[in-house]
Amino acid sequence: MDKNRIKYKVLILDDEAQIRRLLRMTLESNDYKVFEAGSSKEGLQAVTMNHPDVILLDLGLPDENGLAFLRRVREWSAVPVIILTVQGQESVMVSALDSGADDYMTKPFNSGELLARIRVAIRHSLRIDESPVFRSGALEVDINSRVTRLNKEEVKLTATEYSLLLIFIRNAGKVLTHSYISREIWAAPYADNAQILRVHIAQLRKKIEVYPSVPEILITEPGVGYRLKMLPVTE
Amino acid sequence: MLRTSLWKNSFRSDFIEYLIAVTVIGATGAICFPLRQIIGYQSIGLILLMMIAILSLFLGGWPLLLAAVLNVLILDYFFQEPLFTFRVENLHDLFANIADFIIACIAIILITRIRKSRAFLIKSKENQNILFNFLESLNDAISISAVVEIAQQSLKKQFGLDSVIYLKENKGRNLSDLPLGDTLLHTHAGFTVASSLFTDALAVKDYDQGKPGEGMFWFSLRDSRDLLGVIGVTLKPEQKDTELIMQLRSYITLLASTLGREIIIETVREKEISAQSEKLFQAILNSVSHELRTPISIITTAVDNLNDIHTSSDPEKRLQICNELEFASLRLNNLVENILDMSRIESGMLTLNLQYCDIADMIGSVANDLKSELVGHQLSIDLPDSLPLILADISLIRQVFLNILRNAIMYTPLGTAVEISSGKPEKDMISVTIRDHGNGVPEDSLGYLFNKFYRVPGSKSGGTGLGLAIARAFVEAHGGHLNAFNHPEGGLSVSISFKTQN
Repeated sequence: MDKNRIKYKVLILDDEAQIRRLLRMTLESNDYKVFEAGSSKEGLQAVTMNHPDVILLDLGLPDENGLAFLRRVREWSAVPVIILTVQGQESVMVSALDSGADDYMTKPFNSGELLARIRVAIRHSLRIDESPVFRSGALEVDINSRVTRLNKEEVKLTATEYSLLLIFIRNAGKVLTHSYISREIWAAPYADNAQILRVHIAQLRKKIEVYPSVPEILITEPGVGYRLKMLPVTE
Repeated sequence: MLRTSLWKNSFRSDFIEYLIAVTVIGATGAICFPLRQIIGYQSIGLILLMMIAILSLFLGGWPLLLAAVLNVLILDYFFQEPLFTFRVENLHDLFANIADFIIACIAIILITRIRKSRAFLIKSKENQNILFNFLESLNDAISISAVVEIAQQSLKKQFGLDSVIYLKENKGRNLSDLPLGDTLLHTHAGFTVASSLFTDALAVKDYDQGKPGEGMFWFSLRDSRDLLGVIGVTLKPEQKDTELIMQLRSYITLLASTLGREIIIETVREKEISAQSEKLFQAILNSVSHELRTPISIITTAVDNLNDIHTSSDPEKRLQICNELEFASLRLNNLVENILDMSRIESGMLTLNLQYCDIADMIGSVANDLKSELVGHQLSIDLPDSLPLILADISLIRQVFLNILRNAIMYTPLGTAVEISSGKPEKDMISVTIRDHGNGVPEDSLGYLFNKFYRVPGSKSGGTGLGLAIARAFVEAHGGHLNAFNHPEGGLSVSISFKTQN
């Protein structure tokens, strides 16, 4: 790590002190500066005073719904927010993502995965690391020349498939809700296009996945949306 | 009802019988009157006596007695000198008349006795039949309530009586105020009478007195061992006669012995059930506490090892310990998820958050999640592109596939294959089959596979027997079906079918 680099600031907003302690430990040992808040009120203060680069938000807060906190923050800040949640709250997740959350993690989570999500969120918000060539696993997309390769072999994508893939590449590592993708491609609300989107995703997978029936790159987040995973590049 | 009509019948026949007796004797006298010179009045006396003998074949006692009196009078008045008077001058005639009358009377007495005993035989045969039929129908009854119902119907049919039964409380020596039979007959006052009869019957061992009260008649129900309760029948005081009461009593004795039998059977059954549920509870406690304690003790040990500077300074060992920690917490999490799911199902609070869902896509994502657990198995997925969508709660259906796949991974040897395929869509159903290549499940266990806390005997430790039960509950909440069968070529097949949406 570059010692002179400015540390990124992370705000942990969770009512469980033990979770906060553990997250702080994980984050500090990975060179983040950590602020903690246990309630929505403290959280809002911390956002205004400390200007965090990422917020980890637990939806179950004692004084206010985490969703309400998110909406308030979004009124004046574009800071990336990663939601921490428990399983079985997919519909809440979708509304959180549609209200401006950047990503989510289901508890209990793997800290390596969490760090990866935080890196993705910061990279997107600071618009760094926008290389003209995207690589994940066996997939390689050269955005300038519009060439897609799987295992070094070129694959032909239709215009819709390519624009779909481009949306995912621009948001690589982030979960995208059905409605977000629909809006981006067709500028239309979700319900009408859910089926069509599903078909396009299936077609795209056949071209960019090694095993289309068990996708590894373009994965489904059941009940929420899709995510383009950043896998180690295979040689 | 039965008894009034009988009484009416016997009255009518009596009246006709008197008429017949008078007519026959009178007519015989009239026919014989012109012949008295030829055959002599002694012969006519014999003819009349013969007529009485013949009449005795058909008539009852009192009409016959009338005939006998009439016989002597006619003989005396019309045939014996001096004619047309009741005077008897001849000592010989007086003896003849007395003998005549005595013979007639003896015949009458004999014939009446024979008839009475025959009638008694018929009657007791009838009673026996009624009791036998009752017993036969009681034998078919296999529960207390069935016995009560049959007794109630039978009492109504045979005697025209409604009945209510109170049984002894399970524990203690009191009568339970829960009425059985015709519950409309239950009144507080009636129950008070029943309880006081019950107390009396408890005090005196052979107490079998009926007790009137509240427009009913109450009898104790007692089998050979114990006092069981009290039955009340709607017997009016004016209907009450000894014979009917005796008949009712034998009826009730029969009922009591059957009830006694059923009560014993039911007690035994209850004991068995409670013993079984206790056994089940113990098994659940054992398996759940084992499943909870194992990962906790793994975590504790791992933490101890990490605290030990000798162990944790070796990066390879540290990695190994951390892997153990991760695995233990995953296992704990699965268990908690299962218990939470189960309590959600049990509490009836399962509400479905329905969305359109692509099964193939879902299975792919589940397989992706299970990647680390699937390392030792070869998973193959063979699903057509165009599986119809289902309307489902995605997180529940995910859990279904997770649980079934975990099961397949856990109970089959390493290196074997797990295959996911789909049958042809039928009408509005699609099915997905998950087949493993393990040893299958013994046929007699198949039926229990989806039961809560059931584990196939002899299967390896780990697991609570909740996963498949949850899977079935979730699938059924969607109107689908979950079935398991042994594949003809080995391995267990679990097939899930869903309603499709078009």
